[in-house]
Amino acid sequence: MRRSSNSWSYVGMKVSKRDHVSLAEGASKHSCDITVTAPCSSSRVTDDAGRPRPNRSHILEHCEPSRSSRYTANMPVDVDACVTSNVHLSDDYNVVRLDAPKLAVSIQPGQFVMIKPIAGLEPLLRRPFSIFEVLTNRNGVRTGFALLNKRVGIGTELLYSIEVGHRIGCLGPLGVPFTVVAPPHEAWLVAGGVGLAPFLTLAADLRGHGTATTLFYGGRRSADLYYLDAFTQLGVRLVLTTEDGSQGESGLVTAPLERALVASAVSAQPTLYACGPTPMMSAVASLATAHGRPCQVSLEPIMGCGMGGCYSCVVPIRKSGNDPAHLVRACLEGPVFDGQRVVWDRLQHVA
Amino acid sequence: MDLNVDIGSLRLKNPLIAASGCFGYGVEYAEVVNLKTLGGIAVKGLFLSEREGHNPPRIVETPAGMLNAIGLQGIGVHRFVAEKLPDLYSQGATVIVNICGSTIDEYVEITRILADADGVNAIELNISCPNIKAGGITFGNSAVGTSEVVQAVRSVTKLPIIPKLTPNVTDIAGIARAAEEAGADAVSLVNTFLAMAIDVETRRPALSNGVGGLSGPAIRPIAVRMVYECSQAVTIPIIGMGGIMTARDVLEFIIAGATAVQVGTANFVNPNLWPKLLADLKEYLSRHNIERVQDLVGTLELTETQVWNSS
Repeated sequence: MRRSSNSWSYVGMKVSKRDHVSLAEGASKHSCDITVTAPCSSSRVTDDAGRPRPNRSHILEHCEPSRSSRYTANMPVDVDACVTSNVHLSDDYNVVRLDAPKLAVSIQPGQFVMIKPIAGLEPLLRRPFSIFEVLTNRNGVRTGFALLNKRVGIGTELLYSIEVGHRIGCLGPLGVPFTVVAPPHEAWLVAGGVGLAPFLTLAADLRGHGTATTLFYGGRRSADLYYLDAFTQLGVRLVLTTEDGSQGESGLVTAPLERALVASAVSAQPTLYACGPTPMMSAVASLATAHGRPCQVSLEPIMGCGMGGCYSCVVPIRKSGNDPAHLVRACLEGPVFDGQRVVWDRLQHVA
Repeated sequence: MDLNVDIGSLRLKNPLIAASGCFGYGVEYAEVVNLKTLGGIAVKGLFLSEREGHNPPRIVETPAGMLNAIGLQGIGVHRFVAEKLPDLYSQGATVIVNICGSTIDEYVEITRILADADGVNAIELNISCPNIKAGGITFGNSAVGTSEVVQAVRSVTKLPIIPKLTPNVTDIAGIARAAEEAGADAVSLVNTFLAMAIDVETRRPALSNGVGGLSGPAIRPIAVRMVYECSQAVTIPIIGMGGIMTARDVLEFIIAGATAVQVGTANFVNPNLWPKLLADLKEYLSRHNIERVQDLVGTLELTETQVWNSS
């Protein structure tokens, strides 16, 4: 279903949640016509030829230099990306592939794009999406990327029904990526539901480093677990759970994770990566702390611009220990954060 | 073709300004926008001290617009001068610093600090944020309060002073007139409209603050009317804003009486809309044989029956 004559490497993503807050959904769901069928093209957003790249450390307000310097690795571009395929995984989920070589060239695992499925005023704002796959041609050259979409509102409904040949405004790549660990460290990825999104790209990158990788992946039922073959082909060990017991262990994904942490040899040195519902990420971060393991989480706040302009996507982060929390912009200083720096009680309160 | 416009003693290279609260401190956009090509950048509103702002959710999308209640999260004037201003200055940006105070003394104190800094081209007085309880709008809600703030700030700086007016009043032209009489160099309008959106499933407001400010194309016709109304009441320049997405929208404000415009919400949708706005503006001027954009300001043609004055 997801294979073509082209080969591509896998990249991860998560689904936009901002659609949940669209109040005008009922009235406007059918008010937008998708009419753009112009030839595929892309253009660089910046006209800054020759200008030195700005120093990101002036932009970030609460970040360590190491993170900000990593962010300087790429610059966002704005492209009109042509839809090359739209595969429906279920009545709710689909994967949209986009032709966007200029954007794809600098994508790092954990980064996101701001997309606008149609021109016009409804919906007005772009939606944040994690990058699900990086697409490459036969020569390994990056040609585009894919989005995993779950329809929950106006924007995601449009993306679910988008037709091949249409163009989607894509601004990115944006955000602080995951820090990829190398042997002797192991990588344990913990995904809940659509939180699988950023992990395909991360797993591909980890395997490129030769890092032993395990995916703990929980869903409500067997049919909610996607892309298992893709992870298996990357050599990722799978630990599956479903709430109804229809596949893997019955219950929540944190149960086998905790057992594994208790049983893990000191030599395994796992680094945890988590994406999913906030309670799950909070529990994973707690387990990581209890077992003295590092944990990176990918947060999904409501986002307005993705550029740091609007201050909508703030999340409560502390610098260290018991420092007071700051509300920091997830688009610039995240979406990937050290799980131990997230003030989870407050995040759940405000989310 | 001459795109320069004058805001008091400040000459802008073109009439397009990034609106406060919609462009961070400017530096966030340096990767995708050549900052020195903008007419100006109105940076995010600054208090004397750092402010945390409101809890999320801070925005919600509504038809052709959005509500926000950020709560003026900000790094305070000292950190702005130390951390952001040098970068803006070195990139050649024309910087309009938007300031907010809980008291008149706070406005004055912030102005003194900015007047001593390199790279500040003008001061926009935020007396109109609908999302904070104390300060700002307390002054902007009345002609007397507006006058007091403008006079106090006027007494400590020669920088152009631009009070930013709220539309949430009965007589915005009267407030513009009070600002002019108190010594303002220009007025900017409109700030957002106080508004509310409700999640009917939970019966709770969509924003944590309960209410927020509506911006975007939804408000544009009201903003255009208010710019026209104020243009009939004052002789100082007007900086118009409210839902500008295209050059056509820019022109509407200019014809209504705005000398310059600010673009806000559209930044969120398309952060690099500026080159196209400018190109389309030039195309219009060329097509209409208008040599100077200033010659287009307030050129609305009215028949006798269309002449309208609110006061």
